[in-house]
Amino acid sequence: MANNLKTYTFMTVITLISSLLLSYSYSALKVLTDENVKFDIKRNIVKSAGYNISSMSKAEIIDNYESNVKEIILDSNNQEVFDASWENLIGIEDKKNGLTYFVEKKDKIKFNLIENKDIDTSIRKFLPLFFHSEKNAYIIPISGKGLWSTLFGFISLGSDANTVQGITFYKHKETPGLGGEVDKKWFQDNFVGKEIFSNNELVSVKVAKGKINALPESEWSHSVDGITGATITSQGVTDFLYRDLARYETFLRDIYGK
Amino acid sequence: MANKILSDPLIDNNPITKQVLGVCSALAVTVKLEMALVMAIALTFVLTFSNLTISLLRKYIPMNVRIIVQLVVIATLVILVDQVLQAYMYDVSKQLSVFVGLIITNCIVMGRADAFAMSNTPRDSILDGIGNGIGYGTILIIVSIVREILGTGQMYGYQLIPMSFYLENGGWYMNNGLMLLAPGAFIVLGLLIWAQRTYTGFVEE
Repeated sequence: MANNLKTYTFMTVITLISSLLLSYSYSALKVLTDENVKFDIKRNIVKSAGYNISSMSKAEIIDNYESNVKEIILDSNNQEVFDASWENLIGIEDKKNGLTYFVEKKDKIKFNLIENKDIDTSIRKFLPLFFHSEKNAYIIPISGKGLWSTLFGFISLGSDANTVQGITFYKHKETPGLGGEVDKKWFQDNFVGKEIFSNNELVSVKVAKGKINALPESEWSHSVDGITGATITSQGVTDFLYRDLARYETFLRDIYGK
Repeated sequence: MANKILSDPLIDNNPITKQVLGVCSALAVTVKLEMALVMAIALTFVLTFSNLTISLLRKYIPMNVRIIVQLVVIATLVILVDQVLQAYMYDVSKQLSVFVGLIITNCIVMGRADAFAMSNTPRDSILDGIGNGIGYGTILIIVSIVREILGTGQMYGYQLIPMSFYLENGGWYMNNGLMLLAPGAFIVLGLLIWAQRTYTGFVEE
């Protein structure tokens, strides 16, 4: 009995010390970590607008973002709303298909518990996008499943809401060298100049299997070279790019038609 | 004695090539040198401090729950490392993703805590931790150098093989995609184990 008491006391003390230490370090470092995540998003928005961020300092990127980027919030019917802000939104991933839903931070817990997030109407969902005034670019968040993981990124469209100006992926767990090539310059550069509308129909940009030279010439402006050895990641990018652009279709079509 | 504790795990008793421990992370994080380096430093830190803590507590830890106590100590240190990486080296921590967390289950850490720190002085335990950390790190670094050069033609992110050698630019060279996958690491690791055992003359009973 005395032995048991000693064990209990010892375990209580050691877990207490451990949890106190970790809570302290977590709260002490939280400011820095949050800052990193926020900056990473801003950096990628600026990057997708068409800047070479590797030659920009952190301060320059933040300055570029703050002086040029306007945050636009749409409701699920693509109508602009003014009672919500990007600061107050949080992206929640649907684990089934990697789609990101944006809801208000206060709804986070409730929304997480909902099984069929796609058909739910009890919680207000938003569609945020960004407008970069210097590059005249509309920047849309994209996300979806690759082979191992969900990829998160941005695609930016020119002022005609049709021509791709840049694409970036800031978070994924694909195999480096294979699916992981999505965050390489050669792959992302291929998207620049491609068009998402064809004959007034949304076709998005497809990642081809192999080189696009093998495709009929009419498809060249809507496809990019695939990644060798990463068929599933490529297919995933094709699928969710179309799906996410379709969510903003009404808004984009409005600008495209003008 | 002190020197022996420090140097023994480098070659003669290397945790990866001799004891074949910690192979999981050795396969996972050795695609790039930068990741391997951070992983090696993180593991050495965890190993050294878990050994020290366990060794300081060794006379008070109740024997029937010693494994749980070791886990608590190791897990605490690993979470600490993860938090620090996220705060100060965000880009690297993004690349290492789950593997920092998986140091908790790395057999080397727990193995050294139970087999060495539980029965040795704090000073020797620290040396043992550093030695094993460096022994593990050395293998990781060698494997990652081979994989990064053969797999991507780069070294620490810098292009080593001239772009003009590549097939798509009219040359003759192609990166070896196998080196980027786990089987590539197995092959390199296997060759290292062979080389090391030829050198030390160790034969598995």
